[in-house]
Amino acid sequence: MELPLVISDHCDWEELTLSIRDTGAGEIWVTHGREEALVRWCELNQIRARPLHLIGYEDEAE
Amino acid sequence: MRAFAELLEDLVLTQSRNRKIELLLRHFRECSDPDRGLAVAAITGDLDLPSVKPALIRELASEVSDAELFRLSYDFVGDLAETVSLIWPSSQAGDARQSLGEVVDLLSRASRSTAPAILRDLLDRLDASQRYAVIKLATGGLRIGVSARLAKQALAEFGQVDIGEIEELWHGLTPPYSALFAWLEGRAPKPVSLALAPFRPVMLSHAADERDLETFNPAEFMAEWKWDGIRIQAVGEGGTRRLYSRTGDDISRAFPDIVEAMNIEGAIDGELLVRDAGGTVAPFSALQQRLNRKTVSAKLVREYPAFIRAYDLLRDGNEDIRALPLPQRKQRLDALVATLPHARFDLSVPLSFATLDELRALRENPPEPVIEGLMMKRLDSVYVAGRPKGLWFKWKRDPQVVDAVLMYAQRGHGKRSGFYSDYTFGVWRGDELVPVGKAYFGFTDEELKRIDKFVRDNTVERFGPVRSVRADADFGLVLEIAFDGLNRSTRHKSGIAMRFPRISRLRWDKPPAEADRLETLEAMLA
Repeated sequence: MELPLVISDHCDWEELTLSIRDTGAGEIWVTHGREEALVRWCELNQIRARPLHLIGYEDEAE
Repeated sequence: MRAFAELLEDLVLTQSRNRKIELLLRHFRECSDPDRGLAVAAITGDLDLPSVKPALIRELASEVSDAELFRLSYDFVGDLAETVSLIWPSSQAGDARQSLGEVVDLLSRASRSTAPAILRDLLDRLDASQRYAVIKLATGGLRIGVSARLAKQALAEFGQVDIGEIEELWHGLTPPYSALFAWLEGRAPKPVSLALAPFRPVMLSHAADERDLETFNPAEFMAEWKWDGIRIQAVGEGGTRRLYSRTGDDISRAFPDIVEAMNIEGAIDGELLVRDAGGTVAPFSALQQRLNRKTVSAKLVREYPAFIRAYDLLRDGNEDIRALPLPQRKQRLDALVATLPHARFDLSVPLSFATLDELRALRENPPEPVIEGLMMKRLDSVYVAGRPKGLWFKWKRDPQVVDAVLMYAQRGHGKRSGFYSDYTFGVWRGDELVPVGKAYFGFTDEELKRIDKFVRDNTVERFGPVRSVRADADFGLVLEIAFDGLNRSTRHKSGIAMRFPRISRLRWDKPPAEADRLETLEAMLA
């Protein structure tokens, strides 16, 4: 069975990368923000990752 | 090092000028020599650590993190010191006991070849806020919202002396300014400036407001054009020649053409300008080619010949004439300038007028585009440092404005990085829009949010950080753009470049079809 794991984006870089490590996730989908940077970090740490480029995601804020 | 790092951090986070001065005063009280003086030098830009270059810092940061990750982070953060200090792996050793003096000593003795290892080792041993401080220190140009003048103001308050005294002394002093601090603390007499040709603090004007104009008595004033160059002071004394900016920075090395012609005993106050090929005064953009350079090539000197349009004389031979009334100073200035090569020195000639209306007419119709407006100076004014009330006035031309249409928006840097805050706007040529400029200020935070929303809602295309925004005859956002002048430009598709464009109003009400046309701008060029 697959369960979604929801993680708040309100944390610093170190916490974000630590969370990725702690989950042991095999693949990371980045929903928003500066996706390239996090994807790059994942690459460097041999974790598969890709940006989702959710349409309208950023426009929902506020 | 810790105290300096804390000072920088506090200064960055402080808006108020008075509060910044208080922070500096506390630093001067709590720190000793040479650290406090070195902190001042870092702020005033008088600290030179030539072997540590931004390129080296970028290189090291790429090595210790990852080149690509560093590039992305730097782009996002926008400040080198901030990016590097945060991306640098946190120190294990934590040997952070080094004083600012020791760090400066270490870095100043580094050579091109030893600098990488020394800097890397240093950054390894410091915490993030100290890393930030070291990088700011090493690269100069702190950009922490504290000018050299503010630092001098703090020194003046520290010793309860006038800032003019500090400015006059400044050029003869070198970091870490121990003799200066000794005097300011009452432990030693005032340092004697042994430097020849010192700077003298300049006299500044107030913008003329409605009340000033109502009470303006033409018989009491002299008027002259206000040229769009930079204010300078040319000083010659006993064979020493120095050209100063209005804040007392020595810019002689960037203007060898002027210095060569400066065969004077005295101190001239005037405007530094550049001539174009035809011999008339070139726009500020031409002068800009010569500014902020440590040295200058022969080619630049030839292509952008500089000259001084003189308007005052502070010292004539060995005589300080600042206490003489303006007409007498002018008379002496005329005599001095007459002895100088005309290509390098000429006079700002008083305008003839009898009434305020005549003056108003002159202001509205200046003979050359490089004129920013008028200066009005009381005939009985003596030369006083600072900005004395009621003596000198500037009366600028109204800024020019056009209505343009928002075409592209780009995400900002730093605290605005979440918003589309940099706007490219265009005017009509036929039935297409051509970009004529870029502006990123002139609006409130509320307005920024609203434009940002408009950009997101009406994006036509995305190119990396740039969005192309819907802009056609019936739909789009019209921006009223104020600017200080127009130049011809081969770099822009429209053939026109704006000087100092800023958004003066958002015209949500105006249909884009009614925005201005390129022909209007072209007519303004003539």
